[in-house]
Amino acid sequence: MMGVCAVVVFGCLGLAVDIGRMYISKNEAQAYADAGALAGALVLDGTSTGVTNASTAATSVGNTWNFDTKSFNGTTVEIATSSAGPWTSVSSPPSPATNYTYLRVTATARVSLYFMPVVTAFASGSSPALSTTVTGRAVAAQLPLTTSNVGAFPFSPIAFDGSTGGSNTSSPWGFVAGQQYTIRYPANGSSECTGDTVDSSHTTIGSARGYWGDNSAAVISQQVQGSLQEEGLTVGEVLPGVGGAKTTIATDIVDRVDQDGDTTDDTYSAYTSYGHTGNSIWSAIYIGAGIQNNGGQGASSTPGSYQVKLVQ
Amino acid sequence: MIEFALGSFVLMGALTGTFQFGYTFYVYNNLVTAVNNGAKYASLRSYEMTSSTPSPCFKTAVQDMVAYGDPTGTNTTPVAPSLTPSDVSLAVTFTNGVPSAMTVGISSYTIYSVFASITLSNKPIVTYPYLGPYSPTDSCTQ
Repeated sequence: MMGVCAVVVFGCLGLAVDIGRMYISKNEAQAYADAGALAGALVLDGTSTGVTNASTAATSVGNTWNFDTKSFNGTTVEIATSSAGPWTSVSSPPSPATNYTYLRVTATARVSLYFMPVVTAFASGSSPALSTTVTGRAVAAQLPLTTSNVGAFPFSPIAFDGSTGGSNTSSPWGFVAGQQYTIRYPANGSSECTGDTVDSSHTTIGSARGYWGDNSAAVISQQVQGSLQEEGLTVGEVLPGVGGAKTTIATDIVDRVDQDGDTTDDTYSAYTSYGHTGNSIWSAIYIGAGIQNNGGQGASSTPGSYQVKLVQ
Repeated sequence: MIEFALGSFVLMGALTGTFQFGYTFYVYNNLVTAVNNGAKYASLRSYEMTSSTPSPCFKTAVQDMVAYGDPTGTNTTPVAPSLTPSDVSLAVTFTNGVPSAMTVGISSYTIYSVFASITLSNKPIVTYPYLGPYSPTDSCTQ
């Protein structure tokens, strides 16, 4: 009688203490896995060295468990080309690791049990487990950025893709290397650079100057300098030109370009080793698979802007 | 009768302990979740400053996100009893002149579980890599 009551009391204690600690550890393991997966996926760049660096990054974010006293051990880091797998261990990275854009982190924590073993021993009659394993797992990936309301430079040459009647459909974004393009929409009827001549639609926009969303000098200034747009953008969308020549624009563009002290490097590695300050990474001349705002080269073979997100 | 008197001391102790640990762990688990949400929010919010000192609006939004679960501060029901935004710490890590990580934690908070209290110092705390848009205008933009 007394024994049964004692087991019930231990069961109550076990529910509160052991299960409580398991819940907290689970939560902490999930936070560790989330942060690790994001940090790792940021570093993937399509090479086997990148995979090794990603593994290091994923396990060195520094989040802990057991009330922030213990580091995680035995974390598993795997990579894949899709969220469905198959998952490849980072200990034997593929070379090249092109298109390995998914990274999965599995964190485990062994939680000691203080009261529950009494109940399990009573119920099963055998010697109980004195600890249990809780797992946190997260998958992060470099995903193409198809919509943006921040981070894009609000000026661009007109891209001559097929739908607007351009002839350079085989070149990236409709541009030819070595050809000069006007970076803003010229005033009605005038074309300033030779590369613009294949396009006829820009002359009908009127006096539009290439920014969009607003024609207040202060707002344009913020858009140029801080890369903040008034309107969200989607890949494939035709940018609305807004009329009105602003003398501040030229100054702002010069200031913005001056934020990047590196105007000569044309490879990604040379560019990132320059020791940049401010927001230099954004006005890079490097064009390829790039990760928004973190300067990562990206592991995908498809050029474009990528964002690292948790997918699972 | 005498057995009950003796036994009740043990039972009362066990029951108080159960409540105390259970409640403390419950609150702590809520804090872990809140800090995690706050750090995720900080890692995605547009960062405006060119130094590791966050702008007042960035810091306030992150603190409100942790304490109230709402970055705008409209909802002011704390996620744990009398948790205030000022209990929340935010540290920004800069690498090569750009923000690279956000560390969010509870700088100081006491859990009162009726029979005893425990003061947490710098925990729970969690770090996330910075993934948001960096737009250095050196002013609050939103």
